[in-house]
Amino acid sequence: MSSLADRLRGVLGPAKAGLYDNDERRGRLQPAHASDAAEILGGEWRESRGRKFLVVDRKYSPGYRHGKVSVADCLPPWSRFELLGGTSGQMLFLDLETTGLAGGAGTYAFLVGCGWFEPLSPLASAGQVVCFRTRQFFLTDFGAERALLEAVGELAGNLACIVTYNGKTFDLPLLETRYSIQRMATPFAEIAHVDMLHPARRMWRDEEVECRLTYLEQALCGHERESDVPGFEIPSRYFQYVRSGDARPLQAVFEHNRLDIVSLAMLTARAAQLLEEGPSAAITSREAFGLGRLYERAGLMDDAVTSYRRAAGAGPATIRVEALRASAIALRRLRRYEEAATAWHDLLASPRCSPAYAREASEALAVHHEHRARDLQMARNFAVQSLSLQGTPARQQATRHRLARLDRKLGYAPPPQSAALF
Amino acid sequence: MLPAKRTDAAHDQTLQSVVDRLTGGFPDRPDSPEGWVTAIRRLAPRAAEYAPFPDGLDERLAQALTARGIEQFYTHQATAVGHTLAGRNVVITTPTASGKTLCYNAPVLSAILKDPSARALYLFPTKALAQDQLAELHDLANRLLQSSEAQIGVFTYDGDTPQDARRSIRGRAHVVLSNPDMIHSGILPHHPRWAKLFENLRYVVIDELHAYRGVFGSHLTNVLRRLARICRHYGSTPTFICSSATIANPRELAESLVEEPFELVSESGAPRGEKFFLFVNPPVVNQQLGIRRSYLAETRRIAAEFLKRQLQLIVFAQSRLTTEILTTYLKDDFGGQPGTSEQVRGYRGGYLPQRRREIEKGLREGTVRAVVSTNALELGIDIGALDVCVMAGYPGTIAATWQRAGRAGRRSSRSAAVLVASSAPLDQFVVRNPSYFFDSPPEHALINPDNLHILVDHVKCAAFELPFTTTEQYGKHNVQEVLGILEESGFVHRTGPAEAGPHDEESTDGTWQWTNESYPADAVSLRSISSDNFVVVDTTNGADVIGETSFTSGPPTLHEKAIYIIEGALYQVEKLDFDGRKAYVRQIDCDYYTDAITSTKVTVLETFATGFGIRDSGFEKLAVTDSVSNPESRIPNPDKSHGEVHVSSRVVGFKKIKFYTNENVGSGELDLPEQQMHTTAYWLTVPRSVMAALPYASDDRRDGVVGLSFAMRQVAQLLLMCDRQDIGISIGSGEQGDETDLTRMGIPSKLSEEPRIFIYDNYPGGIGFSEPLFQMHENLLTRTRELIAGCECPHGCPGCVGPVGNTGPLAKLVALRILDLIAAGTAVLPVSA
Repeated sequence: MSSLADRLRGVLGPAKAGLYDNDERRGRLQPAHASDAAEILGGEWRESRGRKFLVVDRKYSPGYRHGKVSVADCLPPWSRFELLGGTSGQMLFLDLETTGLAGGAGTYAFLVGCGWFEPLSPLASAGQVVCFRTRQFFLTDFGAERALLEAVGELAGNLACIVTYNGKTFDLPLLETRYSIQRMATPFAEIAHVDMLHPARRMWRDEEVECRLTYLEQALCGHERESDVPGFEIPSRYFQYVRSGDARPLQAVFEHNRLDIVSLAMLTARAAQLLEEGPSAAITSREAFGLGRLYERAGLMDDAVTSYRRAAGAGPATIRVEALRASAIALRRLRRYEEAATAWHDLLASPRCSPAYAREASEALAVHHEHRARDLQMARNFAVQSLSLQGTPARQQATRHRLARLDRKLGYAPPPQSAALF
Repeated sequence: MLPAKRTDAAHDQTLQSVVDRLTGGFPDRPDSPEGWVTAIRRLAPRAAEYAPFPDGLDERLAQALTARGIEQFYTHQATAVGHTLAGRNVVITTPTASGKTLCYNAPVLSAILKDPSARALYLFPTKALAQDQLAELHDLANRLLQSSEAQIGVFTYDGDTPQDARRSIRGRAHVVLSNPDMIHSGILPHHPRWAKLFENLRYVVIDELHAYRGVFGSHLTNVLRRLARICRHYGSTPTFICSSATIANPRELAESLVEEPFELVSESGAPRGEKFFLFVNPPVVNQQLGIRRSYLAETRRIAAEFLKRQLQLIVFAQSRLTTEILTTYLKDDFGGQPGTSEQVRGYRGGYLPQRRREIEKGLREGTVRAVVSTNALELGIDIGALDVCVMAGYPGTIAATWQRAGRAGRRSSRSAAVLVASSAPLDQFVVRNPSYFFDSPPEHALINPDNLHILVDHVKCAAFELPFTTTEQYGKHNVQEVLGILEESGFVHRTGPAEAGPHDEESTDGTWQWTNESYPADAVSLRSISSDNFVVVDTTNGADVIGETSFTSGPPTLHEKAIYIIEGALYQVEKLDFDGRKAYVRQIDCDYYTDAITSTKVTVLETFATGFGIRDSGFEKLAVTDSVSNPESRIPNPDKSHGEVHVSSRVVGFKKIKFYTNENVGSGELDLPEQQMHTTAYWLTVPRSVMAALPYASDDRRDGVVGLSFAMRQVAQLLLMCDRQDIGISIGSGEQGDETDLTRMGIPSKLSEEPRIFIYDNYPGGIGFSEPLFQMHENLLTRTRELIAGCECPHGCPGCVGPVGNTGPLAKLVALRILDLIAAGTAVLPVSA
């Protein structure tokens, strides 16, 4: 009979070629390689509880440019940052590189990337040099996870808020799991968290492309990455390092992570500045429309309307339709009925207005003309128009009631066979 | 209108009168295998035996139980609860409706009342059972909330739990009701989110333990090994409470599933009324082909006898299709007047939950007088106790039969259970050998958690959940070696011991870290051995995936022109895309099913053990001395063995078999790729001398061996408590390079001098059937002889050695002769030249 090892190989099938050759195997954990990592990646070893991990610091001066945007263009404080759910005070930009996307106990955050503007505190003396810093915590040895997480916790100690991209679904739950496996409390539990994915989607999503950080970086900053690591390759590069001790393939991963953090900071700054300066600063109609949404969510209805109007003014018809509808609804809520009616009219007149929106608009206009403008004939016209467009049975019923009431008010005899109308 | 309530005496009188009608008024007559009613047994009534609540049961719980009308426990409940309160694992195997759930609910609730941080985890084999238990637990928890303001959170957590409710459940549940699949893929890999549960896990309840046998059980052991690792990590040591139907080895099964010692509680203290158990075999209508009258018609007639006397009954059918047929029959007979509530209902998986609840309630309240069900009502769903249970077809195992029969049986009045046999071989064996059912111990539930295929999958999952240390053990094999091989494929990476500081409490062991992007639990299904499978695509209207089957059973069930049956609907396979692992089917209407002819060759790789079967005890010694004193004499090979084998099989054709009659109505040839696997097997060697002593032509001798193997397979399935596809059979020499030609039916055209009959585990790596079969060798041969000899067909039929068309006219005779010669130890006789 074959040995256990042979039978196991039979069960597992042949090892994937190139994944793991013997040279790598012999090289593992050799001290020469291990000390190289600090040099290759440009970092320093930290030691705690007899476990070592690597910390890589970088500084980005105010003149550092990311495409056409410089660090100096982005500096806080941002007066209306709280509209995004942030708080004034120290903020930390966070991005993880992990050993997989599935989550669960066996997915590690091998690189915890952090970034912040210095001075951290807005109260620091005015003369201090301002800059952006990144700090990357690199797990070179699985046993050092606890020490590494402690160090991350120390950095997070005095934070007011953290900013991520898709961190609500991915980065923070994953970190929470890591803290929990080490039986430690997560330092982020009580801290405000701004996940820029959702505001970014509102303002900058293009129908054609996925709203990824690298896309935004290109669209907003005009920054093109050179020889960037594709995301799916990152775990295997890390595993290769773990087995061989050779950190060279990781250089690009570290750079990728730093670029993500800097981009995240810049797009957050862009969003905060837009909120500060208002829709006149918006470059595209979509940006203006997204800004309106952010204002509306924060209850700043006047700002929202201004943004929607700007979005409706120019740009593609699809955005114009959305912006007109949004502004009509906002205006109605502000009780600016005449202006709302104008917006509904404009919406109806738009060539790209969908039947559903047309029905909504004509219904709103029927209400407006019956109760506000008191033009019953107009109201009736709009009610009939609304009926001609398919609605839910309940809505159709309501409109028929309205039509009957209008006919009574207008002194029309009830139609002999009202059903014939439809 | 409801029938007027009768007194117990009148009720008993009515039931007795129906039993008398069926048996001709002789309830005490001996078994008569040739009769219509082949057996009658009277099970005596039993009075309740009570015991006080054990010490240590929380006072508030005792009060809540009293308020519910439970002032003391039955003895088995008291014993079981006593063990669990003392922290001893316990397995309970008392009959259906004996109050098993209280055996685990009581200690669990008591522990939570005493320490609100305590947690418990319940495992049920199906989601429906968890839902049913939820209602019961909610009721008790509500009473405790009202009487003592104790907040006890009870929640199900399974694939149906909405995502947004999961976090809240993790925080609030004292008792989590789930299933092994969810523990495996949803809870263990995310154990940090469940830290509170694992830190405080006091009890693990495994209900319906007997459901975990074969592949499913082997997986469960590994899930529980992983659970144990996680509990150790969080510092908890839960006590296990298991409940099982009556099987031969409940304690052994519990101990091999959980890998800890168990106490067994099997003596029920619950009261039981008198019960009659009848076996019915529909009469033969075609003697030549061994065809009997339809068992469904018999079932309908018998059910009607009880139903028209207002006795409430349950009919168990074997499939969804037969359930619907019988429901229609009984509705035709007892349709009630229009406008009245329906007295006859069907019940099966696939009905909406609301409809099921309504039927269950109707049964408890008596408005539903008869229900026809699949095995869906066999497990512990609460429908109250009924008067009569009629089973259309043998449920497959003794354990399941008793469990179904247990649905009938009130505490203080008479009840009856009737088994109506179909023409399937197992049914015929059981109904003609009533003592097999009534007097021998029930089946063994067998598992093989160290099957390498299963083990390796779970070692991956375990490594994902928590790194293995370099001294850790897991399962029977050397897990360090397993991890070493996993490292070769990059799944894990071994890291050295820490450069530990002087105050570091961590051990100096190295660890194996998971270094793979995947989420390994996703690739492992607990209900099969490999995730490679065939999907079945229905092209009748568009292209819907309607089913899947494992890789090994793909070719024999999904070859072109095969009839594929799902939920009683028939489909014909139009095309099998072997490489794409897809079978395209179209719905058809036909009266036959197909049975693949598989040509299988078994090669012995290693023999684990050999021995002699039914012979005089002195035989072995005699043979040895003989060989010493006379080296020239022929030493017969041992006739029973088990070991590791290589199986290569190829589907070469198929037969069309008519429903109900099992007549062979046509065939076809096929050419499909060969499949190979390593597995374990038991084999019978028919000694050279026995073969030589058979006074028949070589073709007839071959037919005898083939017929014998056909019958042995049926009996092996019976003894192993397994499904038909769990085992495979092959005849050959078992030697390398055996190039014997096979006939169109997949049997050797010519036998070797010492043919072997292999019964192999039909799963790569084996699932633990072979060694037990080796141990049961004598029983296997004795039962096989009973099956063949007891069959009244003249030359063989599907109920014994196979239909005459398959095997020759002498198969039955020769098979019996072989068994007799083996039993007589003819092998020691000198072989005439």
